[in-house]
Amino acid sequence: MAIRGEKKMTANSTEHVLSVQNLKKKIRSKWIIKGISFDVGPGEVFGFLGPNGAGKTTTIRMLVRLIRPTEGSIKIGGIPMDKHPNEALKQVGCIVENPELYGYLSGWENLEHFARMLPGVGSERIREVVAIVGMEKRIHDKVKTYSLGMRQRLGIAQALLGNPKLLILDEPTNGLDPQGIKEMRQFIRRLAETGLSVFVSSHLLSEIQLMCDRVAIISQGTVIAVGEVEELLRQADDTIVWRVDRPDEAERMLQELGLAPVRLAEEEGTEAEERPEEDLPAPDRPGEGRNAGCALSVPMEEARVPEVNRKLAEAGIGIFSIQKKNPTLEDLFLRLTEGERIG
Amino acid sequence: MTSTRLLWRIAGLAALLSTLLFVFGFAYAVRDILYPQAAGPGQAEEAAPVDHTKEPDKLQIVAIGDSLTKGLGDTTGEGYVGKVKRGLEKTLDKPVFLWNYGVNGIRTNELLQYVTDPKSEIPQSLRKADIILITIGGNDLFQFSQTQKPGDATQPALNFNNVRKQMPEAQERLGKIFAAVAELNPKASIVYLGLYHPFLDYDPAREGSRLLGQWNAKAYELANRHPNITVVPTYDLFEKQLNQYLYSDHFHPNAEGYERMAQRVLQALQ
Amino acid sequence: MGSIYPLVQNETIKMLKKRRFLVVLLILAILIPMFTYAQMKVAQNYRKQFGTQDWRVTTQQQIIDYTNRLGSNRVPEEIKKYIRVEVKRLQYALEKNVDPQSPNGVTFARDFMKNAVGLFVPLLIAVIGSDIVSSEHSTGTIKLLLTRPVSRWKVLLSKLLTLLMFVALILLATGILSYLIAGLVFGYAGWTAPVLTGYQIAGDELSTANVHAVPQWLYLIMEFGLAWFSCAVVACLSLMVSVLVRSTAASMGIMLATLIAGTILSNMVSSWQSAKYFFMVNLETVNFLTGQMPPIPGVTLSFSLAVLAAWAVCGLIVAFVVFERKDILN
Repeated sequence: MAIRGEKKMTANSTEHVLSVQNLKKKIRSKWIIKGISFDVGPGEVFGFLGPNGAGKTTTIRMLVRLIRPTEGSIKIGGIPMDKHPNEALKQVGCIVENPELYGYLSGWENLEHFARMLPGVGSERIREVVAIVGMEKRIHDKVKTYSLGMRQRLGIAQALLGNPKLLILDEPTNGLDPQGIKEMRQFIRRLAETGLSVFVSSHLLSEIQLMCDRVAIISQGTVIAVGEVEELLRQADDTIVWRVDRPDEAERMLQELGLAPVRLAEEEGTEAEERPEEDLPAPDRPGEGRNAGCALSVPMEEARVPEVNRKLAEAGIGIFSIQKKNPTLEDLFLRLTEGERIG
Repeated sequence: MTSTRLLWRIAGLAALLSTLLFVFGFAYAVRDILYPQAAGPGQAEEAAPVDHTKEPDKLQIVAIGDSLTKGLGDTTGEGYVGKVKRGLEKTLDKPVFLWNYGVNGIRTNELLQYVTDPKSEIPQSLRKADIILITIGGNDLFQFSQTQKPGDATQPALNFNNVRKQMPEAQERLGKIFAAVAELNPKASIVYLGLYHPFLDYDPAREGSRLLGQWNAKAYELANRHPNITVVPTYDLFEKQLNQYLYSDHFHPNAEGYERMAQRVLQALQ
Repeated sequence: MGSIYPLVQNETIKMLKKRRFLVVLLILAILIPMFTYAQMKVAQNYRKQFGTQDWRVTTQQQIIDYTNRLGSNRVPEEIKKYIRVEVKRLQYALEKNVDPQSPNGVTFARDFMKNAVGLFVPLLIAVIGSDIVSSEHSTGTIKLLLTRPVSRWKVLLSKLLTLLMFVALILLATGILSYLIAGLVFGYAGWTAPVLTGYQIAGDELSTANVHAVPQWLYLIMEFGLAWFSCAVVACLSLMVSVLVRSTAASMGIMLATLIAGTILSNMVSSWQSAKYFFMVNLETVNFLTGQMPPIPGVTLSFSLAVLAAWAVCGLIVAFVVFERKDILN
């Protein structure tokens, strides 16, 4: 894989590949993005996490100049986007939302099409990227006959054509089957190992956790946390999952105790929208082997468990189980965006 | 792929060349329209020669004259000319073709111009005809005072003095028309339809009848100078039941009136 | 400008692979035989009616018919003016012994374009043009197209150039197909037959002072040249609509409605004078070659060309400004 030479990378390592400062966007007198700043270093997989409608896609579109920022600056490889958009874009490969390519052209013709828009990219390079994504067999078939996974891979091949420093992927695992998700994850890690910076957006928390070195969490147009995934996880409080028979009462009691319980799942999940089934790893699933009742996830210190347990028991609430959970980004996210989720 | 590249080359080249051609055409056309140059002498002479020989085995009718030839007033749209054509088609076993050059409202002077005009196609057509049908003179005689339109028949101002004054000249022109047509085509059967009196009921003194009689008599005389011209009288056709055979404008025949005229002509031709 | 070449190549390949052009060719290949058949029927009818195909006879007949209409009180004065010009033109043709309508493949191509430039060919252009930008929106490919290190105006310029290429190709195809198909029936000769042009209309008088004959092939090129200009203007406006409207169906609908409204308008403009500033009623500049009365009195070739050019320029300015500035939100 000849994505980027090793030497060049170290030369650039002091400089951020992507630097976003105080980015804002107003659409029809409404601030969609209210000031976003973060930096992406070389060879890093950077996660961009937020619920749907938080402004992820708008931000990504500003990064690739589909949308002009109202305020703020974007620098790619040190080149300011607003002054030299073409030089800046030369260093970026991207897929915005779905990999939408020309269905009536073959994969090869699509790559030729985009290669013509880049200086100095010939059929040699096209063959290389086709090899990188492993699509040699079907590359001359029409794109409309491709599966979503193949389109995703062709999209990445297209993004890699111009030897970019930065790869921007918007929800790369969206719609893929579990096998495809796993492959995509490995693929992205492999690209990063060659020195390429990858910017991945997702609303799937587990994805980011498994793929990324660092993450920015965005909610309602602002970044609420940036940092290394491990470090952010450490910051999160322990989480205790209480499985009780009368969740409403329990919830009220826990709130009285100054805690912030979050209901995880109910009998016939009315709460499923933000957390589809595959989101939650099997052991976390509250319904597993339960007799009845509902699970409340409560970020709290472990030391307070006996006290809370006693209070609940005194109130006559039946407790099926108390379980300590290792903190996940999900918990972190829930805690950070609590106002949005509960209030 | 090579096929894509080939496609692009062909399309691109064709588009480029045709664009150049069209731009040239556009510029040339604009120049030609905005700053036209008159034709040099003889530029239009290279036209393909037109074959004027008669085709055998068909009957060619050429009708010239005024609104009667045109068939004004006939709601079937045929006029006596069309009815004659139909009649001939029935009796003859060959195709009959009709070129109708009737023009509403014309008089002898205009018809004379038509048959003698070298620019017009009418003389050529007459030459090719087997049967020539002519109606003319009605407008010379009945457009009395120019203020009165022929269609306005409620109060026809019958000014026969005017008619009397104009008649000799009109008759002279009729003679010229006969001569011209007979000269153009000595072989065809030429039929001239005499005039009738559309205002008979407004003319109790029958002053107009006398004048029409003079006209028709003169027409006989003129026709007799040429062996192939026949005059078919129509005066009597409209004498008795005038309103039954006239159109609502009280001037032109209606379908029935035209039918009676056509019968006369057919009889004269057989 | 070196970098514009591969972009035009891209757009051309897409246009060809999308099969839009093929559809246009198909439409032509179906419609032209129909018109050929109709033309053949007309010729046969003449023969049946007059027993001759001699154009002089039928032309004289036409003159007589027109003369009769002139005599009628029910014919409005505007139409009479038109008829008088027409009569003069036909008489001139008789005098010069030049058949105004000799049927052969070349004449058919000539006639076909004359009748098609008002609506039919612009519709074909609109079919191709109104989708050139909006289709990138509806398939989402605009997001890839505009994130390349290529300025937006260059992307749009490449689309404009491609569109102009296809304008030429459509006209070329119309000419070739109508010649080939009609030639089967009427014969392929007639390239050098003389055609009269140079009529000038002053008021309601037809001046034949500058009339001269040109060989038919040159006339055909002149006619197609004028048609090309009209079509190029339609292409520019289609591009604008395509930029402004995201849905292909909607932009095509807008263009079709506008063009069809134009043909309806040109029948009414004699009473609504300011309608002459619409581009749609000025598309038929070809008529100035044959000395036909323009739909609105006082409209000249220069006027029509100026109106068309003004519309095209405005359309392009709007298209480029909007395309350069707009945020791609979906």
